[in-house]
Amino acid sequence: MGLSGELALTLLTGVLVLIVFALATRFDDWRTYTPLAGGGALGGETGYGHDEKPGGIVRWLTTVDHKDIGILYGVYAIVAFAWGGLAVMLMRFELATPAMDVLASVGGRAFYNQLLTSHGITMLFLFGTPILAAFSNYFIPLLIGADDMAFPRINAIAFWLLPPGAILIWAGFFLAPFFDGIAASMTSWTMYPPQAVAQTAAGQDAMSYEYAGRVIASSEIDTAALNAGTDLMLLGLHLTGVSATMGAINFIATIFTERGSDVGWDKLDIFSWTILTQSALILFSFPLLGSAIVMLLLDRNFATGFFAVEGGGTILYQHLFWFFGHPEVYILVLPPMGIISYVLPRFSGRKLFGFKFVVYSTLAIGVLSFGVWAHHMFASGIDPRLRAGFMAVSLAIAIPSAVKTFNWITTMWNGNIRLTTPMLFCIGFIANFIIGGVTGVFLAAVPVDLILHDTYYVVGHFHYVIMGAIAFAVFAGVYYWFPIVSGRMYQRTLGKAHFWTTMVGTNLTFFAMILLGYGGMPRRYATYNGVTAEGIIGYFTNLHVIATVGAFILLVGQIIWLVNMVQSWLEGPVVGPDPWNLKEDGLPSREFDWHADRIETTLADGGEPAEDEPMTDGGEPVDADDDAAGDE
Amino acid sequence: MIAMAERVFTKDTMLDLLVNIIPLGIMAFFIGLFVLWGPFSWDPLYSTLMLGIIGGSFLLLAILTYISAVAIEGDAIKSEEAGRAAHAEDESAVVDTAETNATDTPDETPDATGDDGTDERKDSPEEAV
Repeated sequence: MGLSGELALTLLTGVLVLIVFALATRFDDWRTYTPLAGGGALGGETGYGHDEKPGGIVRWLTTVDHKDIGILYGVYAIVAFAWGGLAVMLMRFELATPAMDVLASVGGRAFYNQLLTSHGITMLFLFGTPILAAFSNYFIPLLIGADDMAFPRINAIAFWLLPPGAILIWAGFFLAPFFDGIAASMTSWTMYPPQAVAQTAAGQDAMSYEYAGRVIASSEIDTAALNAGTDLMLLGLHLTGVSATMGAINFIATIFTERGSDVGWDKLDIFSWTILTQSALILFSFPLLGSAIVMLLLDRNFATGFFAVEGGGTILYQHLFWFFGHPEVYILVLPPMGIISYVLPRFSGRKLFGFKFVVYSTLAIGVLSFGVWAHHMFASGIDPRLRAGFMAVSLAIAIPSAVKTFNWITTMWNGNIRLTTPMLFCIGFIANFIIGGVTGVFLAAVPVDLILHDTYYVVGHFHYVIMGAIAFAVFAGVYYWFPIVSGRMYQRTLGKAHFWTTMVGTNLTFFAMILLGYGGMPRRYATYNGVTAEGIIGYFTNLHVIATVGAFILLVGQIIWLVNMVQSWLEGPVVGPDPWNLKEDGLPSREFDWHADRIETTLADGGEPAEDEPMTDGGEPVDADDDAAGDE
Repeated sequence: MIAMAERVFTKDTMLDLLVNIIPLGIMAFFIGLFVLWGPFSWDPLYSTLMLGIIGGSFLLLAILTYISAVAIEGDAIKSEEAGRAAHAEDESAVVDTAETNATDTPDETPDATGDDGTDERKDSPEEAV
């Protein structure tokens, strides 16, 4: 008996365990996430599982739920926003005086250049794209009637590539105290060679050396002297590009294949249209950035000559970069335009005027954005015939944007406008976008561009779009959808304070920059005490002080916002199914229907009903909002 | 295909497409301007590139505008016909499919586009699961 008996008993026990396991899986999934998604022991669907999420941190680390991933994107983007914002505050304080003083003790001009680079890259790649992904992840499946994204796991991977990307991009700052040869990158966000190929940690040129007291230019790069912080930044940037591309593929697949049977192309909402167009732009443009970055890395570390003067040349890099870079502008601005087109009508008491105008113009912007890249290179010495071609398309692309502005204004015209916080941000968006857009049309004309190129005028122009428009739309979206995401309402007074500080701060800061540009103040300079023209130093200083005061007001506004969000998330009044009273105006929306369904399901499940019924804009009765002096 | 195109490109659709026709017009104007009265001398490479950039953008925009118009207006025509068919069935009191049922009693879910007042939403099978 001996061995064979024991073997038989073991086998029997094993079979028993398997039977019990199989029976158990017939009744319920014993774990929330089974390795074999959805199947029971016999491979059939059990109909259970995936409803519950693990608790605590494990939930956030393992989630593939589009709503959770949306929240992760949002939190990540806010951290990046804080980093980029604090970096620019240091720069603004430095610029309040002509000489190098505030930053003198922490690295001077080199540190200023590091902050400048980090601010640009962080705001564009770590804040701009992810905060829009936060909205699209959370709301696109709800808006198109899908259960989730087409590829939920790819969605999770796309997000989880971002934190390592950010750490690599910021790594120079963390490592600089410990290593002499590493500093944060000083290439600016455009990373133009030859500077980006041959910069040392001290901000010097690794292609030159001193001999007998003279600086000698070399054709060879001293690779040992290069700043590894730039390499790390390039790698991090590459990760964020991969992340954006994966996200884009997912959105395209989701919108094409996961739409509810009732959502035809004619019924697709405007936010989904803008996300679809944005995803197409990402798909065609980010690979260009990726390949340009790889070539830069090879030029830096393996002595290739992609962008060397005797090789492909530095202008080749600019073409590759801006073929990505200009669509990137629309990658950032189209979804915010979608948010405005979606939110603004809800508080105007009317449907969006000319919905199809907005859809077709979105698509037009998407296509034309690939035909304008060299307007960033008008001053680089490219052939005048090329400049003329790009100028023509750049002027043409202004039309679709102007059409949208027209539609937003006409939507509000004679509407029943409710000045809630999201609506205020929508109106602020339009006002700022007009200034940002019109200054951009001037820049599209070659002769004007040649005068204003590389001045603060350009900085003012694109900040009016990025801060004045994109960030405003983001805030409009945050306030509008806050009740869905948190189940609570924000504080109305703090919301309004946030709007007015942001509006005043934005215009003080960036209008001063436009005037600085007209005066000829070049961008990217840490100091301006070397200016010798009569009287101009005072002009520059005054405007820089105004810009710094504006930036400080912006900082205060964003702190108010953060406090409001955290406090309201934890303690805000619980909202009802229709916190914006949308049904009153006959303007209900799908995601709020989902929200109402969720509340109903919770109640059926034994949850407690909300104490008060619908609350608009901070829990005040809706009628108060209609009153111009409604701040009782 | 041609019949479909005729049904799609009505006067209303062309009005909607005006927002894309204007940029097309601007690009056509510049092509004409640079060909007839070029400010710079003709160069086989750069002049071709210049016209290629404008012409390429023109072509791509025209193609995308056409495709999107067919997709959007085509779906609109389809849902309109489905709505009409459902309405006709409703009048003759023939209610035989789940889809018709849903169409007859539209719930309050909005038309997300806000483009028109009709609401022909049907409960999707996914949602029923």
